[in-house]
Amino acid sequence: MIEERALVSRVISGDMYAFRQLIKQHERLVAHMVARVVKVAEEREELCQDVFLKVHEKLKDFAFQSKLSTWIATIAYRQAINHLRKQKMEFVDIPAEETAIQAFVDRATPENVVEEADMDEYVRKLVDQLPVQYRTVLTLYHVEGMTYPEICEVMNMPEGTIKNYLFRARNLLKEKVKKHLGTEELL
Amino acid sequence: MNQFEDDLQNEIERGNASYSGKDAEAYKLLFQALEKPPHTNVSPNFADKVIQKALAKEQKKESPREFVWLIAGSFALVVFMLIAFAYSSVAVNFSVLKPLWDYKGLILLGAIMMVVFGRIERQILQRQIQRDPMANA
Repeated sequence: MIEERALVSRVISGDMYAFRQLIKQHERLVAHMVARVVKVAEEREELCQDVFLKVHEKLKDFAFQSKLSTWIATIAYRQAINHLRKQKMEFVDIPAEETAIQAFVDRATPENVVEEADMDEYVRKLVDQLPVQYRTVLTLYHVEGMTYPEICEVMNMPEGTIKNYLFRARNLLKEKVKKHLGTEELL
Repeated sequence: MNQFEDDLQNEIERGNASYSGKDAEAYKLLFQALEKPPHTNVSPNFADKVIQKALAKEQKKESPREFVWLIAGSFALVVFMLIAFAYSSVAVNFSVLKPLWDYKGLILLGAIMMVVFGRIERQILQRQIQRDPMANA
């Protein structure tokens, strides 16, 4: 935390070498966040640049009430969501009814996903089909190793909602994986 | 939330090997796969590009366009005044400003107060932005 404070202080005072260090430390986090929200690859790098420009602009207002990585992830998430809104993308949530869950499981999986023999790649493509909130929670929890309170701060949602999204996303993916394993056994 | 499924997820996540069956197997594979990051990377000179943009933004902020126009306008005014004095029979007489010299203290106080209130106003605005720094994020 002390190192973080020293780094932030140097960036605020105009030290561009310190800003470069900050970018290097957090570029993977920002890239993962943006990649999970924005599907068009060509738009991602520019959006990542915009995130760090916003970080540079707002850093003087950062009061260390959370980890720096959590604060940067919050900016990345909001920038990505605003980007989707500008493109008039709709946010879709999957209803909690059993029938809707069954429909997701039974829905014919696109060929490029079914043919995927590598389980990691198969799951990655399945995750891409989930609603943006589910994808974000999965990324923050499993890839970035964030805690529930940190995820709540990034997504500005109550802990109960985050836990629910995580549970439902994993349950839905598990059903697809189970079906995929069953298909592989038959072949 | 299905309690059995929730418990199963938590136990598999903790690495509890005692759970078996298709659901448990699927969760194990799923959790391993979910830890892999998405296929994306920034370009090798990403940090350079960001820094260039940040520097350009700062320079733009600092370029006092209005100040330049003010200076240019003031200079043009002085030049035209001198030309006007040179080509006319107007005699410049600064004695009209003499009475103001008697109030030099008041004029100086007014100038100081303008600067002080300007700074106070800027600090108040900055504090308001600090209270909700993410408002424009």
